[in-house]
Parts: sequence; C-alpha cells; structure tokens
Amino acid sequence: MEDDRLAKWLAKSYDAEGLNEEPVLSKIIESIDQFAIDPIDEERLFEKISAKRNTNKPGLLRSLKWIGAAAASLIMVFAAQQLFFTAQSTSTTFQETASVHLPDESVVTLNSQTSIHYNKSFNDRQLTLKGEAFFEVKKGSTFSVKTKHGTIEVLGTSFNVFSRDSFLIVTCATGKVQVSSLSQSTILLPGQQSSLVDDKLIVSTVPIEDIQNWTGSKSHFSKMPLVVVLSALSHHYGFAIDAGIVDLQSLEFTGSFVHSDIDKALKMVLLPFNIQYEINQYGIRLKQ
Amino acid sequence: MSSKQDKRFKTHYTRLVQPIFRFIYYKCGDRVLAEDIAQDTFIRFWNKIETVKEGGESAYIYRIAKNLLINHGQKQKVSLKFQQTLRQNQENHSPQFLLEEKEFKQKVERAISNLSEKQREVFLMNRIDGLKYREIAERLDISQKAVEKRMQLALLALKKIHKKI
Repeated sequence: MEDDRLAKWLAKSYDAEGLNEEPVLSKIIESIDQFAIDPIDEERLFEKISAKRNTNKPGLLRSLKWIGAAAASLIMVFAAQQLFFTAQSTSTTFQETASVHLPDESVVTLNSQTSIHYNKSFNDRQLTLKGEAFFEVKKGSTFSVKTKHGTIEVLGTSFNVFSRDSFLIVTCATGKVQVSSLSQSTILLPGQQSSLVDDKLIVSTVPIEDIQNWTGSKSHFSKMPLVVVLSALSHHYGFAIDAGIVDLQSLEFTGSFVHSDIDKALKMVLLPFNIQYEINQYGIRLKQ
Repeated sequence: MSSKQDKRFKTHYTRLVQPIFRFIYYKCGDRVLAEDIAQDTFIRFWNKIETVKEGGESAYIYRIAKNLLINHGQKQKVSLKFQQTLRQNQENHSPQFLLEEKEFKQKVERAISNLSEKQREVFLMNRIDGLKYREIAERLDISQKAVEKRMQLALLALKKIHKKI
C-alpha cells in the first residue's frame, strides 16, 4: 500500500532525490513555504487576558492580590515602554487588501499598495497614510490622518481617503470630516467628497453606497476625473500607465473596473472614451 | 493562585499564543475570531492550570481552542490569505511576471482553503509552523499515522491544481 507515500516523501524531501521525484508538487510546496501569517500582538492580548481573568475571579487573598498588582504593574511598565517607543506600520501590495484594527478600536481597511504608520500606543490617534484606505473611527478625541497633500481630522465617523500621485480625495460616509490642505480647508458631511486635484479643492456629492467602493470585486466611481481612476487602476494592478500623447484633461469617468482581470479593467475604463492601449514590458501605454 | 503557576502560564502563553492563533485561523479563516478564541483559550487554561498535568499543556490548550471554535458553531466556506515573504528583489521582474506569480499564489490559497478542515490544519501546522508529524500528533492528540494520512490527502489535492495552472 502506498497510501502515505507523498506524506513520507515530504517529511524527508530535503534530500535532492526526493525533489526530483515530485517536481510539480515541489514547486507548489516551495511557494507555500514562503507563506506567512501576520502575528497577533501578544502583549496586548496578554493584558486583555489578565484583565478579564481578574474580573472573573474575585475574592483572592489580599496579600496575593498585592503581588498580582505589583506583577501587573511591572508588566504594564514594560508594556508601556514597548508601546510608546515603537512605531507600527502595515502595508499591502498589488491586488491585496487588509483590515487593520487600531488600538483605539477604530478599523482601517487598506486598498492595494497602501501603507499606514502610527505609534504603537496610538494615544495621539494620529497616523500617516500613503495610498487609499477606508476608516471607521471609534468616537473619542480627535483622530487625524496625515497624507502628502493634506490632513484629515475627525472625531468619530467613517470616511474614505485616496491619496496617490498628486491627488487627495476624501469622501465622508457618516459624521463630519475636516480636510485641510496647505492652503485650504473644508468640512464634509455624509455623501460629500472633496477632491484636491492640481491644488484646487472641489466639493461634490456622491452616492453613499459608492464610498467604500473598492472592497468588493470592483471599484466604482461617479464623475471622477479620469486621471484619478487611472491612478487607482495602476496602483491596483501594479502597472505604470503612460498617457503618451493622449489628453486626459477634463475627462470624467462614471462606472467601475474589475479587480481580477487587467485587460477587462482597462477596457471598462478606456473604451467609453475611445482610447486604445497596449501592454508592454514597461507597463501600459495609451493611444488615441 | 501562586506566582509559580503564573510563571508556568506565562511560559506556555509565550510558547503557544501565536501557534494557537494560527491553528484557529487555519480552521476558520477569520483573524478576528481567531484572536478572540485564542484569548478565551488562555483564560480557561489559566483558570484551570492547577489541574493540568505537567507535559500535557500543549494537548490541553489545543483541545480547548478546538472546542471553543466548535461551540462558536460557524461552519462556512473559509478563504485563507497569506503574506508572502519575498524571495528576492522583485523589482527586477516584469509586471507580467509579477502578475503570474500573484495568480499562482491565489490559486494555491484557494486550493488550501478548499482542503477539508482536518487536512488543512495538519498541512499548515507542518508547512507554516514547521512542526514534525510527531509533534502535530502530540498537540492534536491523534496518532502519527492519522497525521500522515491527512498530509497524504492534502498533498494529493494540491497536486491537482497543477492541471489548472
């Protein structure tokens, strides 16, 4: 019987002979062996466990309580050191999204090729964003998002930020959002969107269901400058897009592109404008 | 509760918290749920630590985690996602190559997600946690033969994705 042959093979596949025997499987295993899973924050979890456990078990001897408290505060001091002096960051690559739970219980969903940086303690509720992300902010003190072209400040709301290339586009889903660029500042209400394109801050309205528009299998846009849509597409698939001689100014796109197929996505965006394209080794080149 | 038991708890917590988190993630494909269950698992372990035999901690902790997940009672299709540690400077590759790599990775992820829960947990404990079959058998309190059997089935299933590549 050979019903565990592959299992046995894998267990000792470190010798070269084994690898020759199963070349196909070896390739798959090699790829899997590079997979990793983001670890959880052990110390934060440990504090939660200590806290929960103590509330579950009242009535310990007083002296032991003191020892426990001393131990806990030592751990806290140690944890605080770790917390205050370490920066934390998360990033995604092409065609990848990630959900980050911040220490204040706010949730950030990162679109592809996006990164955020913040202090591990997150007491200041401040983070730096590159790329595109959707924020669901827990009510509390001022929460601010810094980007290359401006800062967004809120108290407790949800909103989307697109900060790529020279654009800063902020869309408010619930609550109020204050957007400040170097020269201008505006307050957005639900369904309003501010676009900072070429140093001009324009406020428009969008359907609320389109705001977290990229978390499904497509990205939706309504009346968005085509250059912004192409920037989103290029960052999603990781291809550079070269406009060549095609004039994209003043073109606005309403519609969506798919996340799984670059050819289909390009057709969805470019066909309505009758723009052709070719894919070469450097990326995508547009043609009239 | 003596500080000796607290020390014992901390030792096993440090050793097993990430593996337990991953173990639940392999089973349910949900990071948030996996973290919650890891938390409850260690609270229970701490409360019961005096009744746990020395040397039997791993099997005990894995059993609680498994039971908590069963109690939680969700049985839906899972979709696991992995980070990829980069093997070389990828900037030199063409976009086409990167796209193909990405597609391959997604195919493998899908194939892993489609394995049965028992095959998947054993397979990933072996490949990602780097545990030997004997160590997996100890933690899950099953025979080494059973581990090999599950590995065999998992590998046969993975081999099939080649046809679709």
